[in-house]
Amino acid sequence: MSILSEIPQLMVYGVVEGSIITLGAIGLSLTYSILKFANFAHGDMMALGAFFCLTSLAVLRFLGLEDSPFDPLSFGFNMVAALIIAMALAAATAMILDRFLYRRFRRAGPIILLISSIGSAFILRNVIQFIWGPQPQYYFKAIQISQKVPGLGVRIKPDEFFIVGIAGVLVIFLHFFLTRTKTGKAMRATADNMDLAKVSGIDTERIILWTWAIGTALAAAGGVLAGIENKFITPQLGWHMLLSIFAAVILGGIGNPYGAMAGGMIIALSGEISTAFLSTAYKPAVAFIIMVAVLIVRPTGLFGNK
Amino acid sequence: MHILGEVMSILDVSDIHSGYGETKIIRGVSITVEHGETVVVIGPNGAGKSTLLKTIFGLLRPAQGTVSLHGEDITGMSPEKIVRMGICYVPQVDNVFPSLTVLENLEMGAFIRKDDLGTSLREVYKRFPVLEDKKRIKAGKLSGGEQQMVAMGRALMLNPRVLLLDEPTAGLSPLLVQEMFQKIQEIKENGVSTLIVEQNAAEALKYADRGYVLAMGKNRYHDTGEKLLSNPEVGKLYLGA
Repeated sequence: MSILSEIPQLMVYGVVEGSIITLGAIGLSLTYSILKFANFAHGDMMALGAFFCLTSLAVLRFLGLEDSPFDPLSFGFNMVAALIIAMALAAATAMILDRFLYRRFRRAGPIILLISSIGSAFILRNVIQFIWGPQPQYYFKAIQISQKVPGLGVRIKPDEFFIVGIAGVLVIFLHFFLTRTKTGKAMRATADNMDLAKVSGIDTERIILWTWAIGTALAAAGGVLAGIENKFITPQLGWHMLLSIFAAVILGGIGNPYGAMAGGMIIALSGEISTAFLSTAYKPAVAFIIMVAVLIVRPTGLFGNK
Repeated sequence: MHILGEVMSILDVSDIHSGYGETKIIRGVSITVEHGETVVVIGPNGAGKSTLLKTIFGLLRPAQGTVSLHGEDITGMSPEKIVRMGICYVPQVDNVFPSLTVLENLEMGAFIRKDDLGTSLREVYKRFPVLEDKKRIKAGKLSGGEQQMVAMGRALMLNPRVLLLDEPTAGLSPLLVQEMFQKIQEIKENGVSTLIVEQNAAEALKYADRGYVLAMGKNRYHDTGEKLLSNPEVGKLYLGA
Protein backbone atom coordinates (compact mmCIF):
# COMPACT_ATOMS: atom_id res chain seq x y z
CA MET A 1 0.00 0.00 0.00
CA SER A 2 1.46 3.34 -0.97
CA ILE A 3 1.80 6.15 1.50
CA LEU A 4 -0.78 8.31 -0.23
CA SER A 5 -3.47 5.68 -0.06
CA GLU A 6 -3.34 5.86 3.73
CA ILE A 7 -4.20 9.53 3.75
CA PRO A 8 -8.01 9.27 3.52
CA GLN A 9 -8.04 6.97 6.56
CA LEU A 10 -5.73 9.32 8.46
CA MET A 11 -8.03 12.21 7.62
CA VAL A 12 -10.89 10.32 9.24
CA TYR A 13 -8.83 10.01 12.42
CA GLY A 14 -7.93 13.67 12.10
CA VAL A 15 -11.52 14.84 11.82
CA VAL A 16 -12.53 12.78 14.86
CA GLU A 17 -9.66 14.08 16.94
CA GLY A 18 -10.17 17.57 15.54
CA SER A 19 -13.79 17.54 16.72
CA ILE A 20 -12.64 16.83 20.25
CA ILE A 21 -9.83 19.39 20.21
CA THR A 22 -12.17 21.99 18.71
CA LEU A 23 -14.64 21.65 21.58
CA GLY A 24 -11.81 22.23 24.03
CA ALA A 25 -10.33 25.06 22.00
CA ILE A 26 -13.58 27.05 21.72
CA GLY A 27 -13.95 27.33 25.47
CA LEU A 28 -10.33 28.29 25.97
CA SER A 29 -10.66 30.94 23.28
CA LEU A 30 -13.92 32.30 24.71
CA THR A 31 -12.53 32.76 28.21
CA TYR A 32 -9.41 34.33 26.77
CA SER A 33 -11.43 36.73 24.64
CA ILE A 34 -13.41 38.04 27.62
CA LEU A 35 -11.01 37.71 30.54
CA LYS A 36 -7.71 38.05 28.64
CA PHE A 37 -5.96 35.18 30.34
CA ALA A 38 -4.93 31.68 29.30
CA ASN A 39 -6.87 29.25 31.45
CA PHE A 40 -4.60 26.31 32.24
CA ALA A 41 -7.38 24.56 34.14
CA HIS A 42 -9.39 24.16 30.94
CA GLY A 43 -8.01 20.70 30.16
CA ASP A 44 -8.87 19.47 33.63
CA MET A 45 -12.39 20.78 33.17
CA MET A 46 -12.57 18.41 30.19
CA ALA A 47 -11.51 15.56 32.46
CA LEU A 48 -13.98 16.66 35.11
CA GLY A 49 -16.74 16.60 32.48
CA ALA A 50 -15.70 13.10 31.44
CA PHE A 51 -15.94 11.87 35.05
CA PHE A 52 -19.22 13.68 35.69
CA CYS A 53 -20.52 11.74 32.70
CA LEU A 54 -19.25 8.46 34.19
CA THR A 55 -21.06 9.13 37.45
CA SER A 56 -24.21 10.29 35.68
CA LEU A 57 -24.25 7.01 33.75
CA ALA A 58 -23.94 5.09 37.02
CA VAL A 59 -26.72 7.14 38.62
CA LEU A 60 -29.02 6.62 35.64
CA ARG A 61 -28.38 2.88 35.83
CA PHE A 62 -28.96 2.94 39.58
CA LEU A 63 -32.29 4.69 39.01
CA GLY A 64 -33.21 1.68 36.94
CA LEU A 65 -33.25 3.46 33.60
CA GLU A 66 -32.57 0.56 31.28
CA ASP A 67 -30.25 1.36 28.48
CA SER A 68 -30.19 -0.53 25.22
CA PRO A 69 -27.56 0.76 22.80
CA PHE A 70 -28.67 2.62 19.70
CA ASP A 71 -27.74 0.25 16.91
CA PRO A 72 -24.95 0.46 15.69
CA LEU A 73 -23.54 2.66 18.47
CA SER A 74 -22.03 1.13 21.59
CA PHE A 75 -24.26 3.17 23.88
CA GLY A 76 -27.81 4.39 24.11
CA PHE A 77 -29.96 7.19 25.38
CA ASN A 78 -28.36 7.19 28.83
CA MET A 79 -25.06 8.30 27.30
CA VAL A 80 -26.72 11.31 25.67
CA ALA A 81 -28.49 12.19 28.91
CA ALA A 82 -25.26 11.74 30.90
CA LEU A 83 -23.41 13.95 28.41
CA ILE A 84 -25.90 16.76 28.93
CA ILE A 85 -25.83 16.35 32.71
CA ALA A 86 -22.01 16.37 32.66
CA MET A 87 -21.97 19.58 30.60
CA ALA A 88 -24.33 21.26 33.05
CA LEU A 89 -22.37 20.12 36.12
CA ALA A 90 -19.05 21.22 34.63
CA ALA A 91 -20.56 24.60 33.71
CA ALA A 92 -21.80 25.02 37.28
CA THR A 93 -18.35 24.11 38.64
CA ALA A 94 -16.73 26.75 36.43
CA MET A 95 -19.20 29.40 37.58
CA ILE A 96 -18.54 28.51 41.21
CA LEU A 97 -14.78 28.66 40.62
CA ASP A 98 -15.22 32.08 39.06
CA ARG A 99 -17.24 33.41 41.99
CA PHE A 100 -14.88 32.09 44.64
CA LEU A 101 -11.53 32.33 42.90
CA TYR A 102 -11.11 34.15 39.61
CA ARG A 103 -13.42 37.07 40.36
CA ARG A 104 -11.27 38.07 43.31
CA PHE A 105 -8.15 38.13 41.14
CA ARG A 106 -9.67 39.87 38.14
CA ARG A 107 -8.49 43.31 39.15
CA ALA A 108 -5.00 41.96 39.84
CA GLY A 109 -4.42 41.33 36.14
CA PRO A 110 -3.99 38.47 33.67
CA ILE A 111 -0.75 37.01 35.09
CA ILE A 112 -2.30 36.44 38.50
CA LEU A 113 -5.33 34.86 36.83
CA LEU A 114 -3.09 32.63 34.74
CA ILE A 115 -1.16 31.44 37.77
CA SER A 116 -4.31 30.84 39.77
CA SER A 117 -5.65 28.78 36.86
CA ILE A 118 -2.52 26.60 37.00
CA GLY A 119 -3.27 26.18 40.69
CA SER A 120 -6.87 25.21 40.04
CA ALA A 121 -5.69 22.82 37.32
CA PHE A 122 -3.69 20.88 39.92
CA ILE A 123 -6.50 21.04 42.44
CA LEU A 124 -9.09 19.81 39.95
CA ARG A 125 -6.91 16.94 38.75
CA ASN A 126 -6.19 15.81 42.28
CA VAL A 127 -9.79 16.11 43.34
CA ILE A 128 -10.77 13.98 40.34
CA GLN A 129 -8.14 11.42 41.28
CA PHE A 130 -9.26 11.46 44.90
CA ILE A 131 -12.92 10.92 44.04
CA TRP A 132 -12.69 8.56 41.07
CA GLY A 133 -9.22 7.03 41.52
CA PRO A 134 -6.20 7.06 39.21
CA GLN A 135 -6.97 3.90 37.22
CA PRO A 136 -8.61 4.09 33.79
CA GLN A 137 -12.39 3.81 33.79
CA TYR A 138 -14.83 2.86 31.05
CA TYR A 139 -18.19 4.21 29.90
CA PHE A 140 -19.02 0.86 28.32
CA LYS A 141 -17.26 -2.44 27.86
CA ALA A 142 -18.22 -3.28 24.30
CA ILE A 143 -15.46 -2.99 21.75
CA GLN A 144 -16.48 -1.63 18.43
CA ILE A 145 -15.08 -2.79 15.11
CA SER A 146 -14.58 -0.14 12.46
CA GLN A 147 -16.72 -0.62 9.41
CA LYS A 148 -15.82 -0.04 5.82
CA VAL A 149 -17.45 2.98 4.21
CA PRO A 150 -18.39 1.88 0.71
CA GLY A 151 -16.71 3.83 -2.06
CA LEU A 152 -14.38 5.89 0.15
CA GLY A 153 -11.91 3.21 1.10
CA VAL A 154 -11.91 4.21 4.74
CA ARG A 155 -12.99 2.48 7.91
CA ILE A 156 -15.01 4.32 10.52
CA LYS A 157 -16.45 3.25 13.84
CA PRO A 158 -20.12 4.17 14.18
CA ASP A 159 -19.30 5.88 17.49
CA GLU A 160 -17.05 8.23 15.58
CA PHE A 161 -20.00 9.49 13.57
CA PHE A 162 -21.61 10.30 16.89
CA ILE A 163 -18.48 12.16 18.06
CA VAL A 164 -18.24 14.30 14.94
CA GLY A 165 -22.01 14.77 14.87
CA ILE A 166 -22.25 15.97 18.48
CA ALA A 167 -19.31 18.32 17.97
CA GLY A 168 -20.97 19.68 14.83
CA VAL A 169 -24.30 20.22 16.57
CA LEU A 170 -22.64 22.01 19.49
CA VAL A 171 -20.64 24.26 17.17
CA ILE A 172 -23.80 25.18 15.25
CA PHE A 173 -25.62 25.88 18.52
CA LEU A 174 -22.74 28.09 19.62
CA HIS A 175 -22.78 29.96 16.33
CA PHE A 176 -26.49 30.69 16.65
CA PHE A 177 -26.05 31.66 20.27
CA LEU A 178 -23.26 34.13 19.45
CA THR A 179 -24.94 35.67 16.41
CA ARG A 180 -28.67 35.47 17.14
CA THR A 181 -29.21 35.91 20.86
CA LYS A 182 -28.87 39.10 22.84
CA THR A 183 -26.61 37.45 25.42
CA GLY A 184 -24.42 35.99 22.67
CA LYS A 185 -24.03 39.34 20.97
CA ALA A 186 -23.28 40.97 24.30
CA MET A 187 -20.62 38.32 24.86
CA ARG A 188 -18.95 39.25 21.56
CA ALA A 189 -19.33 42.93 22.43
CA THR A 190 -17.68 42.36 25.82
CA ALA A 191 -14.84 40.48 24.13
CA ASP A 192 -14.38 43.38 21.71
CA ASN A 193 -14.31 46.13 24.31
CA MET A 194 -15.28 45.53 27.91
CA ASP A 195 -15.29 49.22 28.84
CA LEU A 196 -17.64 50.13 26.03
CA ALA A 197 -19.84 47.17 26.98
CA LYS A 198 -20.13 48.57 30.51
CA VAL A 199 -20.83 52.04 29.13
CA SER A 200 -23.65 50.52 27.07
CA GLY A 201 -25.22 49.10 30.21
CA ILE A 202 -24.20 45.48 29.59
CA ASP A 203 -23.86 43.61 32.87
CA THR A 204 -20.36 42.32 32.16
CA GLU A 205 -20.21 40.19 35.32
CA ARG A 206 -23.20 38.22 34.07
CA ILE A 207 -21.58 37.90 30.64
CA ILE A 208 -18.41 36.55 32.28
CA LEU A 209 -20.48 33.85 34.05
CA TRP A 210 -22.12 32.93 30.75
CA THR A 211 -18.70 32.69 29.14
CA TRP A 212 -17.45 30.30 31.81
CA ALA A 213 -20.61 28.23 31.59
CA ILE A 214 -20.59 27.86 27.81
CA GLY A 215 -16.84 27.41 27.42
CA THR A 216 -16.72 24.78 30.13
CA ALA A 217 -19.83 22.96 28.95
CA LEU A 218 -18.18 22.59 25.54
CA ALA A 219 -14.95 21.44 27.19
CA ALA A 220 -16.88 18.85 29.19
CA ALA A 221 -18.47 17.58 25.98
CA GLY A 222 -14.99 17.33 24.48
CA GLY A 223 -13.84 15.32 27.49
CA VAL A 224 -16.79 12.91 27.20
CA LEU A 225 -16.24 12.46 23.46
CA ALA A 226 -12.54 11.82 24.09
CA GLY A 227 -13.61 9.14 26.56
CA ILE A 228 -15.84 7.54 23.92
CA GLU A 229 -13.08 7.64 21.32
CA ASN A 230 -10.28 6.40 23.59
CA LYS A 231 -12.54 3.86 25.32
CA PHE A 232 -11.29 4.94 28.74
CA ILE A 233 -10.92 8.03 30.88
CA THR A 234 -8.22 8.99 33.36
CA PRO A 235 -7.73 12.11 35.49
CA GLN A 236 -4.95 13.14 33.08
CA LEU A 237 -7.24 13.07 30.02
CA GLY A 238 -7.54 16.83 29.64
CA TRP A 239 -4.07 17.78 30.74
CA HIS A 240 -2.63 15.65 27.94
CA MET A 241 -4.78 17.41 25.36
CA LEU A 242 -4.13 20.91 26.64
CA LEU A 243 -1.03 21.48 24.52
CA SER A 244 -2.86 20.62 21.29
CA ILE A 245 -5.75 22.79 22.40
CA PHE A 246 -3.48 25.76 23.04
CA ALA A 247 -1.87 25.21 19.64
CA ALA A 248 -5.32 25.18 18.02
CA VAL A 249 -6.37 28.39 19.77
CA ILE A 250 -3.17 30.24 18.87
CA LEU A 251 -3.20 28.97 15.30
CA GLY A 252 -6.78 30.08 14.78
CA GLY A 253 -6.23 33.52 16.29
CA ILE A 254 -6.53 33.73 20.03
CA GLY A 255 -9.91 34.96 21.22
CA ASN A 256 -11.80 33.99 18.09
CA PRO A 257 -14.06 30.92 18.56
CA TYR A 258 -14.27 30.34 14.80
CA GLY A 259 -10.50 30.42 14.61
CA ALA A 260 -10.42 27.84 17.40
CA MET A 261 -12.58 25.52 15.29
CA ALA A 262 -10.34 25.88 12.25
CA GLY A 263 -7.22 25.59 14.41
CA GLY A 264 -8.48 22.42 16.07
CA MET A 265 -9.11 20.75 12.73
CA ILE A 266 -5.79 21.83 11.22
CA ILE A 267 -3.76 20.70 14.25
CA ALA A 268 -5.46 17.30 14.38
CA LEU A 269 -5.43 16.69 10.62
CA SER A 270 -1.81 17.71 10.13
CA GLY A 271 -0.72 15.56 13.08
CA GLU A 272 -2.56 12.50 11.77
CA ILE A 273 -1.55 12.90 8.14
CA SER A 274 2.09 13.28 9.14
CA THR A 275 2.05 9.71 10.47
CA ALA A 276 1.96 8.53 6.87
CA PHE A 277 5.49 9.88 6.45
CA LEU A 278 6.91 10.07 9.96
CA SER A 279 6.88 8.08 13.15
CA THR A 280 3.79 8.68 15.31
CA ALA A 281 6.11 10.08 17.95
CA TYR A 282 6.48 13.23 15.85
CA LYS A 283 2.73 13.90 15.71
CA PRO A 284 2.73 16.74 18.26
CA ALA A 285 5.90 18.21 16.76
CA VAL A 286 4.32 18.40 13.31
CA ALA A 287 1.28 20.14 14.72
CA PHE A 288 3.50 22.71 16.38
CA ILE A 289 5.65 23.22 13.28
CA ILE A 290 2.46 23.98 11.34
CA MET A 291 1.42 26.40 14.08
CA VAL A 292 4.77 28.19 14.04
CA ALA A 293 4.78 28.35 10.24
CA VAL A 294 1.33 29.93 10.18
CA LEU A 295 2.29 32.42 12.87
CA ILE A 296 5.37 33.50 10.91
CA VAL A 297 3.12 34.39 7.97
CA ARG A 298 0.21 35.65 10.08
CA PRO A 299 1.37 36.59 13.56
CA THR A 300 -2.20 37.06 14.78
CA GLY A 301 -3.28 33.59 13.71
CA LEU A 302 -5.66 32.64 10.91
CA PHE A 303 -8.67 34.57 12.16
CA GLY A 304 -7.08 37.07 14.49
CA ASN A 305 -7.42 40.69 13.51
CA LYS A 306 -5.77 42.63 16.29
CA MET B 1 -27.49 75.51 44.21
CA HIS B 2 -31.16 75.72 43.47
CA ILE B 3 -33.42 78.33 44.84
CA LEU B 4 -36.88 76.99 45.59
CA GLY B 5 -39.11 77.34 42.57
CA GLU B 6 -36.30 77.60 40.11
CA VAL B 7 -36.31 74.97 37.37
CA MET B 8 -33.79 72.27 38.14
CA SER B 9 -30.92 71.73 35.74
CA ILE B 10 -31.02 68.40 33.99
CA LEU B 11 -27.35 67.95 34.82
CA ASP B 12 -25.63 69.71 37.66
CA VAL B 13 -21.93 69.16 38.30
CA SER B 14 -20.78 70.94 41.41
CA ASP B 15 -17.20 71.52 42.54
CA ILE B 16 -15.82 68.22 41.20
CA HIS B 17 -12.29 67.12 42.05
CA SER B 18 -11.31 64.03 40.15
CA GLY B 19 -8.54 62.18 38.33
CA TYR B 20 -6.58 58.96 38.26
CA GLY B 21 -5.33 57.74 41.62
CA GLU B 22 -3.64 60.47 43.57
CA THR B 23 -3.31 62.78 40.58
CA LYS B 24 -6.32 65.06 40.53
CA ILE B 25 -6.67 66.32 36.99
CA ILE B 26 -9.70 68.45 37.73
CA ARG B 27 -9.81 70.47 40.91
CA GLY B 28 -13.09 72.20 41.41
CA VAL B 29 -15.08 72.21 38.16
CA SER B 30 -18.75 73.17 38.19
CA ILE B 31 -21.03 73.12 35.18
CA THR B 32 -24.74 72.83 34.51
CA VAL B 33 -26.75 71.69 31.53
CA GLU B 34 -30.34 72.85 31.22
CA HIS B 35 -33.15 71.01 29.45
CA GLY B 36 -32.59 70.78 25.71
CA GLU B 37 -29.33 72.69 25.83
CA THR B 38 -26.12 72.01 23.98
CA VAL B 39 -23.19 72.84 26.25
CA VAL B 40 -19.62 72.71 25.01
CA VAL B 41 -16.55 72.37 27.20
CA ILE B 42 -13.32 73.53 25.59
CA GLY B 43 -9.80 73.93 26.84
CA PRO B 44 -6.25 72.93 26.07
CA ASN B 45 -4.97 69.36 26.25
CA GLY B 46 -4.72 68.21 29.83
CA ALA B 47 -7.29 70.70 31.06
CA GLY B 48 -9.40 67.81 32.31
CA LYS B 49 -12.18 67.75 29.72
CA SER B 50 -12.31 63.98 29.26
CA THR B 51 -11.82 63.46 32.99
CA LEU B 52 -14.90 65.59 33.57
CA LEU B 53 -17.07 63.44 31.30
CA LYS B 54 -15.72 60.20 32.76
CA THR B 55 -16.46 61.44 36.25
CA ILE B 56 -20.01 62.44 35.34
CA PHE B 57 -20.57 59.00 33.84
CA GLY B 58 -19.20 57.12 36.84
CA LEU B 59 -16.07 55.81 35.15
CA LEU B 60 -14.04 57.81 37.64
CA ARG B 61 -15.05 58.43 41.21
CA PRO B 62 -14.63 62.03 42.31
CA ALA B 63 -12.64 62.79 45.45
CA GLN B 64 -14.94 65.70 46.12
CA GLY B 65 -18.04 67.30 44.66
CA THR B 66 -21.40 66.06 43.41
CA VAL B 67 -23.08 65.16 40.15
CA SER B 68 -26.85 65.26 39.98
CA LEU B 69 -29.26 64.35 37.26
CA HIS B 70 -32.44 66.35 37.50
CA GLY B 71 -31.90 66.89 41.20
CA GLU B 72 -31.05 63.26 41.96
CA ASP B 73 -27.55 62.63 43.28
CA ILE B 74 -25.72 60.20 40.99
CA THR B 75 -22.18 60.82 42.28
CA GLY B 76 -20.11 57.66 42.24
CA MET B 77 -22.81 55.44 40.71
CA SER B 78 -21.60 52.75 38.29
CA PRO B 79 -21.89 53.42 34.54
CA GLU B 80 -24.35 50.52 34.23
CA LYS B 81 -26.68 52.32 36.65
CA ILE B 82 -26.16 55.75 35.15
CA VAL B 83 -27.10 54.43 31.69
CA ARG B 84 -30.36 53.22 33.15
CA MET B 85 -31.04 56.72 34.49
CA GLY B 86 -30.90 58.21 31.02
CA ILE B 87 -27.36 59.40 30.43
CA CYS B 88 -25.46 58.03 27.44
CA TYR B 89 -21.77 58.47 26.87
CA VAL B 90 -19.78 58.30 23.64
CA PRO B 91 -16.05 57.86 24.37
CA GLN B 92 -13.51 59.59 22.17
CA VAL B 93 -11.71 56.43 21.04
CA ASP B 94 -12.66 52.76 20.86
CA ASN B 95 -16.30 53.75 20.77
CA VAL B 96 -17.63 50.94 18.56
CA PHE B 97 -17.52 47.15 18.83
CA PRO B 98 -15.30 46.45 15.79
CA SER B 99 -16.19 42.79 15.24
CA LEU B 100 -19.93 43.40 15.55
CA THR B 101 -22.00 44.57 12.62
CA VAL B 102 -23.40 48.09 12.58
CA LEU B 103 -26.84 46.72 13.44
CA GLU B 104 -25.43 44.67 16.33
CA ASN B 105 -23.61 47.75 17.62
CA LEU B 106 -26.92 49.62 17.69
CA GLU B 107 -28.62 46.68 19.40
CA MET B 108 -25.92 46.70 22.07
CA GLY B 109 -26.60 50.39 22.63
CA ALA B 110 -30.14 49.36 23.55
CA PHE B 111 -28.99 46.38 25.63
CA ILE B 112 -30.94 47.43 28.72
CA ARG B 113 -34.19 47.79 26.75
CA LYS B 114 -36.57 44.86 26.66
CA ASP B 115 -39.08 46.31 24.17
CA ASP B 116 -39.05 46.38 20.38
CA LEU B 117 -36.20 48.39 18.91
CA GLY B 118 -37.82 49.03 15.53
CA THR B 119 -38.79 52.67 16.10
CA SER B 120 -35.44 53.66 17.55
CA LEU B 121 -33.58 51.88 14.76
CA ARG B 122 -35.63 53.71 12.14
CA GLU B 123 -34.89 57.03 13.86
CA VAL B 124 -31.15 56.35 13.96
CA TYR B 125 -31.18 55.26 10.30
CA LYS B 126 -33.11 58.39 9.38
CA ARG B 127 -30.48 60.51 11.10
CA PHE B 128 -27.53 58.52 9.72
CA PRO B 129 -28.72 56.93 6.44
CA VAL B 130 -25.28 55.45 5.75
CA LEU B 131 -25.72 53.18 8.78
CA GLU B 132 -28.76 51.52 7.22
CA ASP B 133 -26.85 50.83 4.01
CA LYS B 134 -24.02 49.28 5.98
CA LYS B 135 -25.98 47.62 8.77
CA ARG B 136 -24.60 44.15 7.98
CA ILE B 137 -20.99 45.34 7.79
CA LYS B 138 -18.62 44.99 10.73
CA ALA B 139 -18.13 48.35 12.41
CA GLY B 140 -14.36 47.87 12.43
CA LYS B 141 -14.36 47.98 8.63
CA LEU B 142 -15.99 51.43 8.43
CA SER B 143 -14.23 54.77 7.99
CA GLY B 144 -13.53 56.98 10.98
CA GLY B 145 -16.50 59.23 10.26
CA GLU B 146 -18.85 56.30 9.85
CA GLN B 147 -17.59 54.75 13.08
CA GLN B 148 -18.33 58.03 14.83
CA MET B 149 -21.89 57.83 13.49
CA VAL B 150 -22.19 54.25 14.76
CA ALA B 151 -21.00 55.45 18.15
CA MET B 152 -23.55 58.27 18.23
CA GLY B 153 -26.27 55.97 16.94
CA ARG B 154 -25.43 53.44 19.64
CA ALA B 155 -25.91 56.10 22.31
CA LEU B 156 -29.16 57.39 20.75
CA MET B 157 -30.75 53.93 20.86
CA LEU B 158 -31.75 54.60 24.47
CA ASN B 159 -33.37 57.97 23.75
CA PRO B 160 -31.19 59.46 26.47
CA ARG B 161 -32.09 62.55 28.46
CA VAL B 162 -28.45 63.61 28.44
CA LEU B 163 -25.85 62.77 25.84
CA LEU B 164 -22.16 63.07 26.76
CA LEU B 165 -19.88 63.34 23.71
CA ASP B 166 -16.10 63.18 24.08
CA GLU B 167 -14.56 64.92 21.07
CA PRO B 168 -17.07 63.69 18.51
CA THR B 169 -15.18 65.33 15.63
CA ALA B 170 -11.63 64.27 16.51
CA GLY B 171 -9.83 63.06 13.43
CA LEU B 172 -12.64 63.90 11.01
CA SER B 173 -12.21 65.90 7.79
CA PRO B 174 -13.47 69.52 7.93
CA LEU B 175 -16.47 68.57 5.82
CA LEU B 176 -17.40 65.77 8.21
CA VAL B 177 -16.87 68.04 11.19
CA GLN B 178 -19.61 70.34 9.82
CA GLU B 179 -21.89 67.39 9.20
CA MET B 180 -21.33 65.98 12.67
CA PHE B 181 -22.23 69.28 14.30
CA GLN B 182 -25.36 69.51 12.19
CA LYS B 183 -26.34 66.05 13.44
CA ILE B 184 -25.71 67.16 17.00
CA GLN B 185 -27.92 70.20 16.33
CA GLU B 186 -30.71 67.92 15.05
CA ILE B 187 -30.39 65.69 18.10
CA LYS B 188 -30.71 68.74 20.32
CA GLU B 189 -33.84 69.80 18.45
CA ASN B 190 -35.31 66.43 19.45
CA GLY B 191 -35.02 67.55 23.05
CA VAL B 192 -31.83 65.75 24.06
CA SER B 193 -29.54 67.76 26.32
CA THR B 194 -25.97 67.43 25.15
CA LEU B 195 -22.65 68.01 26.85
CA ILE B 196 -19.76 68.05 24.40
CA VAL B 197 -16.05 68.16 25.06
CA GLU B 198 -14.27 69.51 21.99
CA GLN B 199 -10.93 70.28 20.39
CA ASN B 200 -12.57 71.93 17.37
CA ALA B 201 -13.47 74.73 19.75
CA ALA B 202 -14.41 77.49 17.33
CA GLU B 203 -16.68 75.23 15.33
CA ALA B 204 -18.28 73.70 18.41
CA LEU B 205 -19.08 77.06 20.02
CA LYS B 206 -21.10 78.09 16.94
CA TYR B 207 -23.54 75.30 17.72
CA ALA B 208 -23.44 75.67 21.49
CA ASP B 209 -25.99 77.41 23.67
CA ARG B 210 -23.35 77.86 26.31
CA GLY B 211 -19.70 77.09 26.66
CA TYR B 212 -17.21 76.54 29.44
CA VAL B 213 -13.48 77.01 29.14
CA LEU B 214 -11.43 74.77 31.40
CA ALA B 215 -7.80 75.41 32.15
CA MET B 216 -5.50 73.66 34.62
CA GLY B 217 -8.38 71.59 35.92
CA LYS B 218 -10.55 74.57 36.85
CA ASN B 219 -13.37 76.65 35.35
CA ARG B 220 -11.85 79.59 33.48
CA TYR B 221 -14.60 81.22 31.46
CA HIS B 222 -18.29 80.57 31.16
CA ASP B 223 -20.64 82.30 28.75
CA THR B 224 -22.96 81.77 25.82
CA GLY B 225 -21.32 80.17 22.80
CA GLU B 226 -21.57 83.40 20.84
CA LYS B 227 -20.01 85.57 23.53
CA LEU B 228 -17.14 83.15 24.07
CA LEU B 229 -16.46 83.22 20.35
CA SER B 230 -16.25 87.00 20.38
CA ASN B 231 -14.24 87.18 23.60
CA PRO B 232 -10.78 88.28 22.41
CA GLU B 233 -8.96 86.62 25.29
CA VAL B 234 -10.66 83.27 24.71
CA GLY B 235 -10.02 83.68 21.02
CA LYS B 236 -6.34 84.29 21.47
CA LEU B 237 -5.71 81.59 24.05
CA TYR B 238 -8.05 78.78 23.08
CA LEU B 239 -9.40 79.25 19.60
CA GLY B 240 -6.15 79.92 17.82
CA ALA B 241 -7.64 83.13 16.38
